[in-house]
Amino acid sequence: MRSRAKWSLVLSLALALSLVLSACGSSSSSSSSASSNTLAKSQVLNLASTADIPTLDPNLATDTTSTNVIEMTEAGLTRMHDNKYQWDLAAGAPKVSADKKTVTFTLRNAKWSDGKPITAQDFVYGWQRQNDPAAKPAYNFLFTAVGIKNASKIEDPTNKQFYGKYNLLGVKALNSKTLQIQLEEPIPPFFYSILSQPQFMPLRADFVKKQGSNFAMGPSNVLYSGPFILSSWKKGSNWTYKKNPDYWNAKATKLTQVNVQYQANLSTRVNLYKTGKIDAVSLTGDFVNNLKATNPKEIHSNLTSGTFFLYINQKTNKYLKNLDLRKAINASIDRNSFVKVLFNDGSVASNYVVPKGFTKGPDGNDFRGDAPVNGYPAGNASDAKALWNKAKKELGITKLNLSFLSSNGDQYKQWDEYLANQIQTNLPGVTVTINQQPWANYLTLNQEFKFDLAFSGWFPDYQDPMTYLDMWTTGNAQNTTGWSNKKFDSLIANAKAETGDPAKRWADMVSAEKTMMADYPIVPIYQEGQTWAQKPTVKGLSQPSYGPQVDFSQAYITTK
Amino acid sequence: MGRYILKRIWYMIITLYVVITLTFLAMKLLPGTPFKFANRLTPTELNTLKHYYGLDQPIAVQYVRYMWNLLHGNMGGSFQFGNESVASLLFAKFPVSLDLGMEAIIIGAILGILLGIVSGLRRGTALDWGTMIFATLGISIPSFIFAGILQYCLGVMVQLFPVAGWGGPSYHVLPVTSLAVGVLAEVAIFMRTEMVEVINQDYIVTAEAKGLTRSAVVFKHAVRNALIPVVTILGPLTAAIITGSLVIESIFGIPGIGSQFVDSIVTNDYPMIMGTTELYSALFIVTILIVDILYGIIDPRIRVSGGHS
Repeated sequence: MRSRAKWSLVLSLALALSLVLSACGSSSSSSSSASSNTLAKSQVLNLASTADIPTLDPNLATDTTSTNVIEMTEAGLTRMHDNKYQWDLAAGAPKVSADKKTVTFTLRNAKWSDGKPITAQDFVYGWQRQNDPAAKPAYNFLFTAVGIKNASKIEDPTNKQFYGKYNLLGVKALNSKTLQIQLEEPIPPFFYSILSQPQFMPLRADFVKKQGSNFAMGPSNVLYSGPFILSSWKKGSNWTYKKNPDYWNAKATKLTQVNVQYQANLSTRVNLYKTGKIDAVSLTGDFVNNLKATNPKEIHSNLTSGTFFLYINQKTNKYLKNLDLRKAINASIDRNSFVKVLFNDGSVASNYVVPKGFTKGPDGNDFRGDAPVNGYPAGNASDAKALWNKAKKELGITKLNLSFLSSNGDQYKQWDEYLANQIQTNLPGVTVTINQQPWANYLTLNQEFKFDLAFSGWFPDYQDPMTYLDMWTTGNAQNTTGWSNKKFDSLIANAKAETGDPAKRWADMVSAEKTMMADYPIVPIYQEGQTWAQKPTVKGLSQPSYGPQVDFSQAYITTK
Repeated sequence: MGRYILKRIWYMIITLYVVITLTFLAMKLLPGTPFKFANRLTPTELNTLKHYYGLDQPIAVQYVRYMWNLLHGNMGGSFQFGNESVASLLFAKFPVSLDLGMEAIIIGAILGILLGIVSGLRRGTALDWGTMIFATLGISIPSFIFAGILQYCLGVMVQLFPVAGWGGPSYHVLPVTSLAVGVLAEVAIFMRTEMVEVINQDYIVTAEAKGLTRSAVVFKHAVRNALIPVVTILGPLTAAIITGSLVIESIFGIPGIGSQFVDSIVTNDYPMIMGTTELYSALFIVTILIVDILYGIIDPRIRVSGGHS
């Protein structure tokens, strides 16, 4: 008897295995036919997050998860929705002075979640706290980037007169409903979109002070001003949003509840989606094809604003000072196969610095419409060989060893090997040694110029091409290439001073990118895309390239 | 016995102290800073932050300060989680890992011992072969493969159990099973080998010759003696399961402590690294103590010699 029971267990395991194998080929039923716009009775959305919430404090938030939670639960003067800004707590467009350096907002009648009114003083306190070193702000450089009066001096620890004196910041409450902002230069084009960021949101002084060290530690240690409130947060497990009835625009919020579970594992998230436990899931690699085959109508895809590239260190490697060698490395990499085979998630090959679909200029065109849309010609394998032969003659070498620094992690292994292999194959005589390091160590080695090539990515701090460009000026801490170009530096300096003349500023930024792409201080590789599956009944859920990463503020559920 | 335990606890404290000191020093050798956007800060800003957290002090000062705080029950605040207290983060997550690990160990050990006894007694039969093939598979296939198979078959296809999450008993079935298979396999193989050896000993033959019943011989004499080596492996196995269920926790979305440890190292979250290491070491040391006490219960000879040493 027992013996049979034992065998049946072995057999059932074998059966289980064969089921898994056969399941790969089978297709699950997909019932997405015609969709309707009739609202479903239950307006509850279920999602999964790849990370827990690191913090609810807008002054400490630097990661996408915290930022997303804050943007769904709090309001700023503006709100980003579908890559455009809308007036949120600002009653409408502000009054701008003739010199375009003083901006005066009138606030609408809006309330905190405890029923008290949101005042101009709350904005002043929030902005000042963001510049108070005691609150350990991590992202206060945004105030400098936008040119708020005195921000750069207050953030500069070497400036004894100003450092930390946040009450000198150019923001003032004229009365409880009128907020005046002073700028050092005429208002920059990205001003209204950056005001939607957590760093520019209001905070209420009496509440923050009363909470003390408990502030933002849990859902009840925060006041809410946005479309949702955080009703529960079980750390390491899940959190729940409920509609905020006190939000001024509550009638636009159709969802009554959003449940988010923290699931670190991609295949688990896909399985939760397949069993209907979550309504949307981001996909990469094999899972894209897997769900495309079974649920083709539920797949959505777009470009993000993430750009990925290789730093070329020409500061300590004398060979890499040679332009033909840098061009040869750039031409040796087949980026199209890279994104198609290794990502398959909508990412596109890039040979440019400023990404597509991120900002529009004063002419209404995308930056990549005014500059070459698909980037500058990168060349192909035979161009790479010709350039390499030229470089070899100029440098008097036949062989070259390059170290390739990268962050560690399973996904990077494949990417690094592909890139190294391309360079070695198309530039005979070049040997590439991959050096994968934990992120913290990667940063140190990168900052200390202990690499020849280094894989890196950049995400925007504000919605303007400048966030991708000014980091490449001479001596900038982010410019770990050692590249220096006077023409580029002066174009950037001009553009920064030209906020009063948007058209000229735009043209200067286009020329700056062109100047940079003639010199190849970096090897652009790709612009990140994202693919996700979403139940057909979920409408209005967006994942824009700037603003909330997953924006469900105006999402709703239909009957089919 | 009481004196023996007191003495062991004293040794445990010394061991823990050495572990804490070595971890503290090793941790300081980790490259990089705990600040997420260190690359976006100017050197002066970085120094301001380091000063705030006391990281600009000599390591000796930092060490004394840490030990002093620890003695007062203060494990510091986590750098990853907005300065939230390490102790409260650990207390919230550890019980979940402990629960998962203990369920897997208890179920795995009991079934493993039973299987081992039966196949040891029926050596060479189909049952024995079956058990051994299953056990070999159980040891050689990593638990996360089982987890993936179970999740897909019973969670997605049949939808008998939840795919992921942590709640009522139904949420426990898949992760506990995935972890228990390895324990079961290892214990079964060990138990079988011991049974085969013990059953051929002279005292078993004597006991049978005295006319004791088969079950009395097996349970009073054979199993009791065969259990000692099994208990030995159960100690480290328990510690390994509780601390090493990281992948299972990740696959089933269980809010345990596993990922916390890895994340804290990658992000240089010093207070969190120390906190998890202390917890793991304490757990390991306590488990070994419990195993030693269990020896005494199973085999009185060990208790006597332990009491005198």
